[in-house]
Amino acid sequence: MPTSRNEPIASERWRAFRFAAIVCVVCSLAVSVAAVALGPAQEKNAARFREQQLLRAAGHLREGEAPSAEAVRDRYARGLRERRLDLRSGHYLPKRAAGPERLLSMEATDSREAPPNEAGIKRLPEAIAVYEILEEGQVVGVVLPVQGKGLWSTLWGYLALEADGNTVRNLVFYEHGETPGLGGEIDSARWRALWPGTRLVDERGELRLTVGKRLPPATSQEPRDADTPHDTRAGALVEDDFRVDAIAGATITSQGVGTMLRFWLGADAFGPYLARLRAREVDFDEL
Amino acid sequence: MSSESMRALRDPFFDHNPIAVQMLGICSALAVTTRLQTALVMSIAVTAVLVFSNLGVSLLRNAIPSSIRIVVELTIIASLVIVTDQILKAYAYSISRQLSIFVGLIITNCMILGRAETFAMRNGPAMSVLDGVGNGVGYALVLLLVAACRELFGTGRLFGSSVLLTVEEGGFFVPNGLMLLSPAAFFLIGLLVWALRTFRPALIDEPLSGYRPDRAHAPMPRPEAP
Repeated sequence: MPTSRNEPIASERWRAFRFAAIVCVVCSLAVSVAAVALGPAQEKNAARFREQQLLRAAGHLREGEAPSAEAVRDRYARGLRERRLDLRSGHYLPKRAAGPERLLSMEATDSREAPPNEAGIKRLPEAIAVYEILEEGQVVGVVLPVQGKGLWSTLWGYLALEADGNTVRNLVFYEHGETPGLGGEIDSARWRALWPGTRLVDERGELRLTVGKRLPPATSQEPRDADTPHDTRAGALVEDDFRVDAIAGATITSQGVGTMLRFWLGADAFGPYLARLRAREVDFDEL
Repeated sequence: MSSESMRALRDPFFDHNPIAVQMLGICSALAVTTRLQTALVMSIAVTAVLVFSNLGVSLLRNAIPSSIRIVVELTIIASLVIVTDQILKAYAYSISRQLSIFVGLIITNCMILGRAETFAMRNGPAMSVLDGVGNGVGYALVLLLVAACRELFGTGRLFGSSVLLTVEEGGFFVPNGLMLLSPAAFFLIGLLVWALRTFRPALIDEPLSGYRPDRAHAPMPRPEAP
Protein backbone atom coordinates (compact mmCIF):
# COMPACT_ATOMS: atom_id res chain seq x y z
CA MET A 1 0.00 0.00 0.00
CA PRO A 2 1.17 3.54 -0.57
CA THR A 3 3.16 5.02 2.27
CA SER A 4 1.57 7.68 4.43
CA ARG A 5 2.15 11.28 3.54
CA ASN A 6 3.93 11.88 6.80
CA GLU A 7 6.87 9.66 5.93
CA PRO A 8 9.80 11.67 4.58
CA ILE A 9 10.62 11.09 0.89
CA ALA A 10 14.13 9.82 1.52
CA SER A 11 12.88 7.06 3.78
CA GLU A 12 10.21 6.09 1.26
CA ARG A 13 12.86 5.78 -1.44
CA TRP A 14 14.98 3.71 0.89
CA ARG A 15 12.04 1.39 1.53
CA ALA A 16 11.45 0.97 -2.15
CA PHE A 17 15.11 0.26 -2.80
CA ARG A 18 15.29 -2.28 -0.02
CA PHE A 19 12.15 -4.04 -1.19
CA ALA A 20 13.43 -4.15 -4.74
CA ALA A 21 16.73 -5.60 -3.55
CA ILE A 22 14.98 -8.35 -1.60
CA VAL A 23 12.74 -9.24 -4.57
CA CYS A 24 15.80 -9.40 -6.85
CA VAL A 25 17.70 -11.68 -4.49
CA VAL A 26 14.76 -14.03 -4.04
CA CYS A 27 14.01 -14.20 -7.75
CA SER A 28 17.66 -14.72 -8.67
CA LEU A 29 17.88 -17.55 -6.16
CA ALA A 30 14.78 -19.20 -7.57
CA VAL A 31 16.02 -18.96 -11.14
CA SER A 32 19.55 -20.15 -10.29
CA VAL A 33 18.34 -23.10 -8.27
CA ALA A 34 16.05 -24.14 -11.11
CA ALA A 35 18.81 -23.83 -13.69
CA VAL A 36 21.35 -25.79 -11.66
CA ALA A 37 18.94 -28.50 -10.58
CA LEU A 38 17.59 -29.03 -14.08
CA GLY A 39 20.97 -28.69 -15.77
CA PRO A 40 21.80 -32.41 -16.05
CA ALA A 41 18.42 -33.28 -17.54
CA GLN A 42 18.75 -30.45 -20.03
CA GLU A 43 22.25 -31.49 -21.06
CA LYS A 44 21.08 -35.04 -21.62
CA ASN A 45 18.32 -33.74 -23.86
CA ALA A 46 20.74 -31.52 -25.75
CA ALA A 47 23.14 -34.42 -26.27
CA ARG A 48 20.35 -36.64 -27.53
CA PHE A 49 19.24 -33.90 -29.91
CA ARG A 50 22.77 -33.55 -31.23
CA GLU A 51 22.91 -37.27 -31.88
CA GLN A 52 19.61 -37.02 -33.75
CA GLN A 53 20.93 -34.20 -35.90
CA LEU A 54 24.03 -36.25 -36.64
CA LEU A 55 21.84 -39.11 -37.78
CA ARG A 56 19.81 -36.67 -39.83
CA ALA A 57 22.92 -35.31 -41.49
CA ALA A 58 23.98 -38.84 -42.36
CA GLY A 59 20.57 -39.48 -43.88
CA HIS A 60 19.60 -42.16 -41.36
CA LEU A 61 16.76 -40.09 -39.89
CA ARG A 62 14.08 -38.57 -42.06
CA GLU A 63 11.89 -35.53 -41.44
CA GLY A 64 9.03 -36.29 -39.07
CA GLU A 65 10.47 -39.53 -37.76
CA ALA A 66 10.63 -39.81 -33.99
CA PRO A 67 12.22 -43.15 -33.15
CA SER A 68 12.69 -44.35 -29.62
CA ALA A 69 16.00 -43.90 -27.83
CA GLU A 70 16.81 -47.53 -28.48
CA ALA A 71 16.08 -47.24 -32.18
CA VAL A 72 18.30 -44.15 -32.32
CA ARG A 73 21.17 -46.03 -30.72
CA ASP A 74 20.63 -48.89 -33.10
CA ARG A 75 20.72 -46.67 -36.18
CA TYR A 76 23.81 -44.96 -34.83
CA ALA A 77 25.59 -48.24 -34.29
CA ARG A 78 24.73 -49.53 -37.75
CA GLY A 79 24.99 -46.33 -39.74
CA LEU A 80 27.88 -44.31 -38.37
CA ARG A 81 31.48 -45.04 -37.55
CA GLU A 82 33.38 -42.51 -35.54
CA ARG A 83 36.99 -41.84 -36.48
CA ARG A 84 39.71 -39.72 -34.95
CA LEU A 85 41.23 -37.52 -37.56
CA ASP A 86 44.55 -35.71 -37.38
CA LEU A 87 43.61 -32.35 -38.86
CA ARG A 88 47.00 -31.31 -40.15
CA SER A 89 47.84 -34.48 -42.02
CA GLY A 90 44.37 -35.70 -42.89
CA HIS A 91 45.15 -39.18 -41.62
CA TYR A 92 43.13 -41.26 -39.23
CA LEU A 93 44.51 -41.80 -35.76
CA PRO A 94 44.01 -44.89 -33.65
CA LYS A 95 41.11 -44.64 -31.29
CA ARG A 96 41.88 -43.66 -27.77
CA ALA A 97 41.97 -46.66 -25.54
CA ALA A 98 39.83 -45.18 -22.83
CA GLY A 99 37.68 -42.18 -22.17
CA PRO A 100 34.72 -40.68 -24.00
CA GLU A 101 34.90 -40.19 -27.74
CA ARG A 102 33.69 -36.62 -27.73
CA LEU A 103 36.63 -34.89 -29.33
CA LEU A 104 35.01 -31.55 -29.81
CA SER A 105 35.95 -30.18 -26.44
CA MET A 106 39.05 -28.06 -26.57
CA GLU A 107 41.42 -28.75 -23.75
CA ALA A 108 44.60 -26.73 -23.98
CA THR A 109 46.77 -29.83 -24.14
CA ASP A 110 45.22 -31.12 -27.32
CA SER A 111 44.40 -27.94 -29.15
CA ARG A 112 46.36 -25.20 -30.79
CA GLU A 113 45.68 -21.64 -31.72
CA ALA A 114 43.73 -21.40 -34.93
CA PRO A 115 45.16 -19.49 -37.88
CA PRO A 116 43.50 -16.12 -38.44
CA ASN A 117 40.03 -16.59 -39.87
CA GLU A 118 36.72 -14.80 -40.21
CA ALA A 119 34.60 -17.56 -38.75
CA GLY A 120 35.54 -16.65 -35.19
CA ILE A 121 37.40 -19.89 -34.55
CA LYS A 122 39.96 -19.32 -31.82
CA ARG A 123 41.37 -22.77 -31.25
CA LEU A 124 41.62 -25.92 -33.32
CA PRO A 125 41.92 -29.41 -31.92
CA GLU A 126 44.80 -31.55 -33.00
CA ALA A 127 42.50 -34.49 -33.41
CA ILE A 128 38.84 -34.19 -34.27
CA ALA A 129 36.04 -36.70 -34.60
CA VAL A 130 34.60 -37.33 -38.05
CA TYR A 131 31.91 -39.88 -38.82
CA GLU A 132 31.83 -42.28 -41.72
CA ILE A 133 28.33 -42.87 -43.08
CA LEU A 134 27.64 -46.57 -43.49
CA GLU A 135 24.95 -48.10 -45.66
CA GLU A 136 24.85 -51.88 -45.76
CA GLY A 137 28.34 -51.93 -44.34
CA GLN A 138 29.77 -49.73 -47.11
CA VAL A 139 31.11 -46.24 -46.50
CA VAL A 140 29.07 -43.86 -48.64
CA GLY A 141 30.08 -40.56 -47.09
CA VAL A 142 31.53 -38.68 -44.15
CA VAL A 143 30.09 -36.22 -41.66
CA LEU A 144 32.29 -33.34 -40.55
CA PRO A 145 31.52 -31.27 -37.46
CA VAL A 146 31.53 -27.56 -38.28
CA GLN A 147 31.06 -24.41 -36.27
CA GLY A 148 31.35 -20.71 -36.85
CA LYS A 149 30.11 -17.26 -36.04
CA GLY A 150 26.58 -16.33 -37.00
CA LEU A 151 24.91 -13.04 -36.22
CA TRP A 152 23.95 -13.51 -32.59
CA SER A 153 25.54 -16.81 -31.74
CA THR A 154 27.85 -19.61 -32.70
CA LEU A 155 26.42 -21.99 -35.23
CA TRP A 156 27.17 -25.66 -34.56
CA GLY A 157 26.36 -28.21 -37.20
CA TYR A 158 27.25 -31.28 -39.22
CA LEU A 159 28.24 -31.19 -42.87
CA ALA A 160 27.72 -34.52 -44.61
CA LEU A 161 29.71 -35.19 -47.77
CA GLU A 162 29.72 -37.99 -50.30
CA ALA A 163 32.64 -40.40 -50.23
CA ASP A 164 34.21 -38.54 -53.15
CA GLY A 165 34.85 -35.66 -50.77
CA ASN A 166 33.43 -33.14 -53.20
CA THR A 167 29.65 -33.24 -53.00
CA VAL A 168 27.39 -32.19 -50.17
CA ARG A 169 24.88 -34.68 -48.86
CA ASN A 170 23.41 -32.54 -46.11
CA LEU A 171 24.00 -29.62 -43.79
CA VAL A 172 22.27 -29.80 -40.44
CA PHE A 173 22.66 -27.50 -37.46
CA TYR A 174 22.18 -28.72 -33.92
CA GLU A 175 22.70 -25.55 -31.98
CA HIS A 176 22.46 -21.85 -32.64
CA GLY A 177 20.83 -18.75 -31.27
CA GLU A 178 19.84 -16.95 -34.44
CA THR A 179 16.60 -15.05 -34.83
CA PRO A 180 13.67 -17.39 -35.39
CA GLY A 181 12.15 -16.79 -38.80
CA LEU A 182 15.26 -15.08 -40.16
CA GLY A 183 18.65 -16.58 -39.32
CA GLY A 184 16.74 -19.44 -37.74
CA GLU A 185 15.62 -20.51 -41.21
CA ILE A 186 18.90 -22.40 -41.55
CA ASP A 187 16.91 -25.13 -39.80
CA SER A 188 14.05 -25.04 -42.27
CA ALA A 189 13.49 -27.98 -44.58
CA ARG A 190 13.26 -25.69 -47.59
CA TRP A 191 16.70 -24.20 -47.15
CA ARG A 192 18.26 -27.51 -46.17
CA ALA A 193 16.88 -28.97 -49.41
CA LEU A 194 19.14 -26.61 -51.38
CA TRP A 195 22.30 -28.27 -50.15
CA PRO A 196 22.36 -31.86 -51.44
CA GLY A 197 24.39 -32.05 -54.63
CA THR A 198 26.30 -28.83 -54.07
CA ARG A 199 29.90 -29.19 -55.13
CA LEU A 200 32.85 -27.90 -53.19
CA VAL A 201 35.91 -27.82 -55.37
CA ASP A 202 36.27 -27.31 -59.11
CA GLU A 203 38.57 -29.09 -61.58
CA ARG A 204 41.46 -26.83 -60.71
CA GLY A 205 41.19 -27.74 -57.05
CA GLU A 206 39.90 -24.35 -56.00
CA LEU A 207 37.32 -24.20 -53.23
CA ARG A 208 34.34 -22.52 -54.79
CA LEU A 209 31.51 -23.27 -52.39
CA THR A 210 29.64 -20.04 -51.58
CA VAL A 211 26.46 -19.05 -49.88
CA GLY A 212 24.98 -16.14 -51.71
CA LYS A 213 22.54 -14.91 -54.27
CA ARG A 214 22.83 -16.57 -57.61
CA LEU A 215 23.69 -14.13 -60.35
CA PRO A 216 21.72 -13.25 -63.45
CA PRO A 217 23.56 -14.07 -66.67
CA ALA A 218 25.55 -11.36 -68.38
CA THR A 219 23.17 -9.56 -70.73
CA SER A 220 23.61 -9.42 -74.47
CA GLN A 221 25.66 -6.97 -76.47
CA GLU A 222 23.06 -4.20 -76.19
CA PRO A 223 24.52 -1.21 -74.43
CA ARG A 224 23.01 -1.02 -70.98
CA ASP A 225 21.90 2.38 -69.87
CA ALA A 226 20.33 3.31 -66.58
CA ASP A 227 16.81 3.04 -67.96
CA THR A 228 17.07 -0.51 -69.25
CA PRO A 229 15.84 -2.88 -66.56
CA HIS A 230 17.95 -5.91 -65.74
CA ASP A 231 16.49 -9.28 -66.38
CA THR A 232 16.35 -10.63 -62.86
CA ARG A 233 13.55 -13.14 -63.25
CA ALA A 234 14.22 -16.27 -61.27
CA GLY A 235 14.39 -18.33 -64.43
CA ALA A 236 17.20 -16.20 -65.72
CA LEU A 237 19.67 -17.14 -62.98
CA VAL A 238 22.84 -18.96 -63.83
CA GLU A 239 22.96 -22.60 -62.78
CA ASP A 240 25.77 -22.85 -60.32
CA ASP A 241 26.59 -26.09 -58.55
CA PHE A 242 28.91 -24.36 -56.15
CA ARG A 243 26.45 -21.79 -54.89
CA VAL A 244 23.64 -22.06 -52.39
CA ASP A 245 21.08 -19.28 -52.09
CA ALA A 246 21.37 -17.16 -48.98
CA ILE A 247 18.30 -16.49 -46.87
CA ALA A 248 16.54 -13.21 -47.55
CA GLY A 249 16.52 -11.08 -44.43
CA ALA A 250 19.31 -13.14 -42.87
CA THR A 251 22.35 -11.74 -44.61
CA ILE A 252 24.85 -12.03 -41.81
CA THR A 253 23.78 -15.49 -40.75
CA SER A 254 24.00 -16.70 -44.35
CA GLN A 255 27.42 -15.13 -44.78
CA GLY A 256 28.42 -16.74 -41.50
CA VAL A 257 27.46 -20.16 -42.83
CA GLY A 258 29.48 -19.58 -45.99
CA THR A 259 32.51 -18.26 -44.13
CA MET A 260 32.39 -21.09 -41.65
CA LEU A 261 32.20 -23.76 -44.35
CA ARG A 262 34.98 -22.20 -46.37
CA PHE A 263 37.19 -22.26 -43.30
CA TRP A 264 36.50 -25.86 -42.36
CA LEU A 265 36.77 -27.11 -45.93
CA GLY A 266 39.93 -25.14 -46.48
CA ALA A 267 43.58 -25.93 -45.96
CA ASP A 268 43.52 -24.81 -42.35
CA ALA A 269 41.09 -27.50 -41.25
CA PHE A 270 39.66 -30.46 -43.20
CA GLY A 271 41.41 -29.53 -46.43
CA PRO A 272 44.12 -32.20 -46.22
CA TYR A 273 41.57 -34.89 -45.33
CA LEU A 274 39.29 -33.92 -48.19
CA ALA A 275 42.17 -33.84 -50.63
CA ARG A 276 43.00 -37.41 -49.63
CA LEU A 277 39.34 -38.37 -49.99
CA ARG A 278 39.16 -36.94 -53.47
CA ALA A 279 42.37 -38.73 -54.43
CA ARG A 280 40.84 -41.95 -53.03
CA GLU A 281 43.78 -42.36 -50.71
CA VAL A 282 41.66 -42.90 -47.61
CA ASP A 283 41.45 -46.52 -46.57
CA PHE A 284 38.06 -46.90 -44.89
CA ASP A 285 38.86 -50.39 -43.73
CA GLU A 286 41.90 -49.25 -41.80
CA LEU A 287 41.20 -49.67 -38.13
CA MET B 1 -16.83 -22.33 -2.45
CA SER B 2 -18.50 -18.98 -2.03
CA SER B 3 -20.35 -17.44 -4.91
CA GLU B 4 -17.69 -14.74 -5.14
CA SER B 5 -15.00 -17.37 -5.56
CA MET B 6 -17.07 -19.20 -8.14
CA ARG B 7 -17.45 -15.97 -10.07
CA ALA B 8 -13.73 -15.27 -9.93
CA LEU B 9 -13.11 -18.75 -11.25
CA ARG B 10 -15.80 -19.01 -13.91
CA ASP B 11 -16.25 -15.50 -15.23
CA PRO B 12 -13.10 -15.66 -17.34
CA PHE B 13 -14.29 -18.82 -19.10
CA PHE B 14 -16.74 -16.94 -21.31
CA ASP B 15 -18.08 -13.64 -19.99
CA HIS B 16 -14.69 -12.16 -19.25
CA ASN B 17 -12.64 -14.37 -21.52
CA PRO B 18 -9.13 -12.90 -21.66
CA ILE B 19 -8.74 -13.24 -25.40
CA ALA B 20 -12.28 -12.90 -26.72
CA VAL B 21 -13.54 -10.21 -24.36
CA GLN B 22 -10.60 -8.55 -22.63
CA MET B 23 -8.62 -8.76 -25.89
CA LEU B 24 -5.40 -9.68 -24.10
CA GLY B 25 -2.75 -12.20 -25.11
CA ILE B 26 -3.73 -12.43 -28.76
CA CYS B 27 -0.15 -12.54 -30.07
CA SER B 28 0.67 -15.91 -28.62
CA ALA B 29 -2.69 -17.18 -29.82
CA LEU B 30 -1.58 -16.48 -33.38
CA ALA B 31 1.82 -18.06 -33.15
CA VAL B 32 1.45 -21.32 -31.27
CA THR B 33 -1.89 -22.53 -32.54
CA THR B 34 -0.64 -24.27 -35.67
CA ARG B 35 -0.75 -27.53 -33.75
CA LEU B 36 -2.86 -28.75 -30.85
CA GLN B 37 0.10 -30.16 -29.00
CA THR B 38 1.99 -26.85 -28.84
CA ALA B 39 -1.19 -24.98 -27.99
CA LEU B 40 -1.84 -27.34 -25.09
CA VAL B 41 1.67 -26.99 -23.69
CA MET B 42 1.52 -23.23 -24.10
CA SER B 43 -1.83 -23.09 -22.27
CA ILE B 44 -0.45 -25.10 -19.38
CA ALA B 45 2.67 -22.92 -19.21
CA VAL B 46 0.69 -19.67 -19.30
CA THR B 47 -1.78 -20.91 -16.69
CA ALA B 48 1.02 -22.00 -14.39
CA VAL B 49 2.80 -18.65 -14.70
CA LEU B 50 -0.48 -16.78 -14.24
CA VAL B 51 -1.48 -18.69 -11.12
CA PHE B 52 1.88 -18.33 -9.41
CA SER B 53 2.34 -14.72 -10.40
CA ASN B 54 -1.13 -13.86 -9.10
CA LEU B 55 -0.32 -15.73 -5.91
CA GLY B 56 3.02 -14.01 -5.45
CA VAL B 57 1.73 -10.53 -6.20
CA SER B 58 -1.27 -11.04 -3.98
CA LEU B 59 0.85 -12.18 -1.05
CA LEU B 60 3.03 -9.10 -1.42
CA ARG B 61 0.25 -6.67 -2.27
CA ASN B 62 0.43 -4.79 1.02
CA ALA B 63 4.20 -4.57 1.04
CA ILE B 64 5.02 -3.46 -2.49
CA PRO B 65 5.86 0.24 -2.54
CA SER B 66 3.61 1.95 -5.03
CA SER B 67 6.45 3.57 -6.94
CA ILE B 68 7.98 0.26 -8.10
CA ARG B 69 4.78 -1.72 -8.37
CA ILE B 70 4.90 -2.59 -12.07
CA VAL B 71 8.59 -3.38 -12.01
CA VAL B 72 8.18 -5.80 -9.14
CA GLU B 73 5.27 -7.51 -10.87
CA LEU B 74 7.34 -7.88 -14.01
CA THR B 75 10.29 -9.27 -12.08
CA ILE B 76 8.10 -11.92 -10.53
CA ILE B 77 6.54 -12.79 -13.89
CA ALA B 78 9.91 -12.90 -15.65
CA SER B 79 11.43 -15.19 -13.02
CA LEU B 80 8.46 -17.55 -13.26
CA VAL B 81 8.74 -17.65 -17.05
CA ILE B 82 12.46 -18.42 -16.90
CA VAL B 83 11.83 -21.26 -14.47
CA THR B 84 9.04 -22.56 -16.72
CA ASP B 85 11.37 -22.44 -19.71
CA GLN B 86 14.02 -24.39 -17.79
CA ILE B 87 11.47 -27.02 -16.80
CA LEU B 88 10.30 -27.39 -20.39
CA LYS B 89 13.86 -27.75 -21.66
CA ALA B 90 14.50 -30.45 -19.07
CA TYR B 91 11.34 -32.52 -19.41
CA ALA B 92 9.74 -31.69 -22.78
CA TYR B 93 12.70 -30.85 -24.98
CA SER B 94 11.20 -31.34 -28.42
CA ILE B 95 8.15 -29.29 -27.52
CA SER B 96 10.30 -26.54 -26.08
CA ARG B 97 12.15 -26.45 -29.40
CA GLN B 98 8.87 -26.05 -31.25
CA LEU B 99 7.73 -23.30 -28.92
CA SER B 100 11.20 -21.71 -29.15
CA ILE B 101 11.00 -18.03 -28.30
CA PHE B 102 7.30 -18.04 -27.51
CA VAL B 103 7.88 -19.42 -24.04
CA GLY B 104 10.11 -16.46 -23.25
CA LEU B 105 7.52 -14.17 -24.78
CA ILE B 106 5.00 -15.21 -22.12
CA ILE B 107 6.61 -12.41 -20.13
CA THR B 108 5.15 -9.93 -22.60
CA ASN B 109 1.69 -11.48 -22.54
CA CYS B 110 -0.47 -8.57 -21.43
CA MET B 111 -2.91 -10.92 -19.80
CA ILE B 112 -0.50 -11.89 -17.03
CA LEU B 113 0.60 -8.39 -16.13
CA GLY B 114 -2.99 -7.24 -16.56
CA ARG B 115 -4.41 -9.70 -14.04
CA ALA B 116 -1.56 -9.04 -11.62
CA GLU B 117 -2.16 -5.33 -11.71
CA THR B 118 -5.96 -5.27 -11.75
CA PHE B 119 -6.85 -8.28 -9.62
CA ALA B 120 -3.98 -9.65 -7.60
CA MET B 121 -3.02 -6.26 -6.22
CA ARG B 122 -6.49 -5.88 -4.72
CA ASN B 123 -7.52 -9.34 -3.65
CA GLY B 124 -6.39 -12.06 -1.31
CA PRO B 125 -4.25 -15.02 -2.33
CA ALA B 126 -7.05 -17.57 -2.55
CA MET B 127 -9.17 -15.39 -4.83
CA SER B 128 -6.15 -14.46 -6.90
CA VAL B 129 -5.29 -18.08 -7.48
CA LEU B 130 -8.87 -18.78 -8.56
CA ASP B 131 -8.74 -15.80 -10.89
CA GLY B 132 -5.47 -17.12 -12.33
CA VAL B 133 -6.96 -20.55 -12.92
CA GLY B 134 -10.09 -19.05 -14.45
CA ASN B 135 -8.21 -16.82 -16.85
CA GLY B 136 -5.86 -19.65 -17.71
CA VAL B 137 -8.78 -21.89 -18.56
CA GLY B 138 -10.42 -19.14 -20.61
CA TYR B 139 -7.16 -18.63 -22.49
CA ALA B 140 -6.80 -22.37 -23.00
CA LEU B 141 -10.34 -22.67 -24.37
CA VAL B 142 -9.65 -20.13 -27.08
CA LEU B 143 -6.19 -21.50 -27.89
CA LEU B 144 -7.32 -25.11 -28.12
CA LEU B 145 -10.34 -24.24 -30.24
CA VAL B 146 -8.28 -22.21 -32.69
CA ALA B 147 -5.52 -24.82 -32.77
CA ALA B 148 -8.01 -27.63 -33.38
CA CYS B 149 -9.43 -25.77 -36.41
CA ARG B 150 -6.03 -24.86 -37.75
CA GLU B 151 -4.50 -28.28 -37.38
CA LEU B 152 -7.56 -30.14 -38.63
CA PHE B 153 -8.20 -28.03 -41.70
CA GLY B 154 -4.56 -27.20 -42.29
CA THR B 155 -3.14 -30.70 -42.14
CA GLY B 156 -6.02 -33.10 -41.57
CA ARG B 157 -4.63 -34.16 -38.21
CA LEU B 158 -5.42 -33.67 -34.55
CA PHE B 159 -2.57 -34.05 -32.05
CA GLY B 160 -0.50 -35.41 -34.91
CA SER B 161 -2.79 -38.31 -35.73
CA SER B 162 -4.59 -38.36 -39.03
CA VAL B 163 -8.30 -37.62 -38.83
CA LEU B 164 -9.05 -36.50 -42.34
CA LEU B 165 -6.99 -38.46 -44.86
CA THR B 166 -5.28 -36.00 -47.16
CA VAL B 167 -5.06 -36.42 -50.89
CA GLU B 168 -1.37 -37.25 -50.52
CA GLU B 169 -2.23 -40.09 -48.21
CA GLY B 170 -4.86 -41.44 -50.58
CA GLY B 171 -7.91 -39.70 -49.15
CA PHE B 172 -10.18 -36.93 -50.31
CA PHE B 173 -9.14 -34.01 -48.13
CA VAL B 174 -7.19 -31.13 -49.64
CA PRO B 175 -5.45 -29.32 -46.77
CA ASN B 176 -6.14 -25.60 -46.52
CA GLY B 177 -2.74 -23.92 -46.55
CA LEU B 178 -4.15 -20.64 -45.27
CA MET B 179 -4.90 -22.31 -41.95
CA LEU B 180 -1.21 -22.66 -41.28
CA LEU B 181 -0.54 -18.93 -41.59
CA SER B 182 -1.06 -16.39 -38.81
CA PRO B 183 -3.89 -14.47 -40.49
CA ALA B 184 -6.05 -17.58 -40.23
CA ALA B 185 -5.71 -17.43 -36.45
CA PHE B 186 -6.85 -13.83 -36.57
CA PHE B 187 -9.90 -14.77 -38.63
CA LEU B 188 -10.78 -17.64 -36.30
CA ILE B 189 -10.46 -15.44 -33.22
CA GLY B 190 -12.65 -12.85 -34.90
CA LEU B 191 -15.28 -15.50 -35.58
CA LEU B 192 -15.04 -16.64 -31.96
CA VAL B 193 -15.55 -13.08 -30.71
CA TRP B 194 -18.55 -12.78 -32.97
CA ALA B 195 -19.99 -16.09 -31.75
CA LEU B 196 -19.48 -15.13 -28.12
CA ARG B 197 -21.28 -11.85 -28.57
CA THR B 198 -24.12 -13.58 -30.35
CA PHE B 199 -24.72 -15.86 -27.37
CA ARG B 200 -23.99 -13.18 -24.80
CA PRO B 201 -25.46 -9.96 -26.18
CA ALA B 202 -24.60 -8.21 -22.94
CA LEU B 203 -20.98 -8.23 -24.08
CA ILE B 204 -21.63 -6.06 -27.11
CA ASP B 205 -19.81 -2.80 -26.53
CA GLU B 206 -21.53 0.55 -26.71
CA PRO B 207 -20.17 2.30 -29.78
CA LEU B 208 -18.10 5.30 -28.81
CA SER B 209 -19.75 7.73 -31.15
CA GLY B 210 -23.22 6.91 -29.92
CA TYR B 211 -24.29 5.34 -33.22
CA ARG B 212 -26.97 2.71 -32.62
CA PRO B 213 -27.86 0.60 -35.65
CA ASP B 214 -31.40 -0.01 -34.36
CA ARG B 215 -31.98 3.71 -34.15
CA ALA B 216 -30.30 4.58 -37.39
CA HIS B 217 -33.19 6.82 -38.37
CA ALA B 218 -33.17 8.77 -35.16
CA PRO B 219 -31.03 11.90 -35.03
CA MET B 220 -27.47 11.36 -33.85
CA PRO B 221 -27.04 12.26 -30.19
CA ARG B 222 -25.31 15.58 -29.85
CA PRO B 223 -22.14 15.75 -27.78
CA GLU B 224 -22.93 17.34 -24.46
CA ALA B 225 -21.90 20.93 -23.99
CA PRO B 226 -18.69 21.16 -21.91
